[in-house]
Amino acid sequence: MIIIMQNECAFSKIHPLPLFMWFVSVISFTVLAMNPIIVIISFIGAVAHRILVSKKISVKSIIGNAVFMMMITIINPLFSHHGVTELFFLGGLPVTLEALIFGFFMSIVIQTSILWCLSMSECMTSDKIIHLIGKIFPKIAVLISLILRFIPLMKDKYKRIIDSQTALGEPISYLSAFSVLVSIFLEDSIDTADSMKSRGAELKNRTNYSNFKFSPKDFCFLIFDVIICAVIIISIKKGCLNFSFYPSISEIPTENSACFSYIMFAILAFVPAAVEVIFWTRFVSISSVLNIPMKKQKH
Amino acid sequence: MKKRSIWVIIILLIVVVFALNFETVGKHYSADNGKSENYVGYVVISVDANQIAENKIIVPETEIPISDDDTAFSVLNEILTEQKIHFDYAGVSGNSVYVKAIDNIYEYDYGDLSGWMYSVNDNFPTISSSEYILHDGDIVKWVYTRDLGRDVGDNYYAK
Repeated sequence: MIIIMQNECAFSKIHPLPLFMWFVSVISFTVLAMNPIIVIISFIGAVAHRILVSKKISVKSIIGNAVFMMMITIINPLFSHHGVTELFFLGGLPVTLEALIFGFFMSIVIQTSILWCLSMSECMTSDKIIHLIGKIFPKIAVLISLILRFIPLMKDKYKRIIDSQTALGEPISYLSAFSVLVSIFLEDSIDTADSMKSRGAELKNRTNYSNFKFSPKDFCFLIFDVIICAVIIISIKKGCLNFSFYPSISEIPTENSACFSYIMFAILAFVPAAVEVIFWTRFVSISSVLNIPMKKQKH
Repeated sequence: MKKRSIWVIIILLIVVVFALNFETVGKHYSADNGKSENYVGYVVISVDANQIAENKIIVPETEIPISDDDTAFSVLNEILTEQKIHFDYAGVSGNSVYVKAIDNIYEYDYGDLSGWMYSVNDNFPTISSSEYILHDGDIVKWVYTRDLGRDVGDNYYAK
């Protein structure tokens, strides 16, 4: 039986271990492979997943992201003068086409990893993190889940402090709001610590409840992930995906082995979007998309 | 507030672009760098990266005239601009300049101890190249080292 909240993505129904492995592998390939095809595939996959999951995509956020990417593209050639194609000179130093293209490439890499991390924070909730590393690193697991809880809490509190300043008719001071926020949270963290201590957080042999079962499906997904990772790591080690920006831009590798790993990576990167499409078209009836908050579904 | 900060950054970028000396490629390489004709002598300058590959000479030994305030950096700048060779440095020209790259061969490209060094009359000065005033008859060599100078004859780190 699968219970799905309306705002939850279907991809997060996978067991935390394969899910975490999947995110780590995709994000690390995006950042470390330094290959434009891999990065573009990853970018399209991330955008597809965000479009399917997020209900808050606005034109404003798209423009904001585009401006952010443009800034990185412009700033890189101002600091890096590497490259053979000189466009013009600034203060006696060349501004090169290679540095501009590398800046654009890096902006896509950063944007893609931000999008994947957004999906990851939605899929990997704190209970999953505790389930995953709670046995091995209990303190780190509690710390991570506390931090992840505190960030949205802080944002909410900050907004409320600003709102109350406005309501009192005082001039809004972001600095004093921040200092109020810090003192509130220092008090709150002492409360949290006391509460945790009184409930026996430090005792040995303390268990935590989790309701995740490692099903054969999850095992298949893990094996699938590991095999594709192995293929891509081998082709990176062999140098099939090598691509260099400096001093001149090399040709994009298109041999058979490189194409094979592109296809493999595409399969990996489009898993969440595919899971989303398949789940919402096959397993969820129309009524759950409407205003019923929770839907039980025979699976 | 967010919008304002974006505009501030854009305006800063525009200011940076125009405050720094903007030149097209053609203008940069054909520029007459306003050097006075008061030559006080000649120096011989050469640039090589023999530590990377055998006989990788970027600028062969060339004799160029110097005026009385010319430094090891300014003659390098002059010869490379004249021969249209890419180079990159950190610092403002005139103060302590550090040469990062010549002909797209960068520091650290060949290991952690690699980079560009210069020698005058086979001595490796311990001051910045833009502070070393040259005299008539000096022989300036710019060499690429892969071992902190030990492989090109600098004895500063000999141990």
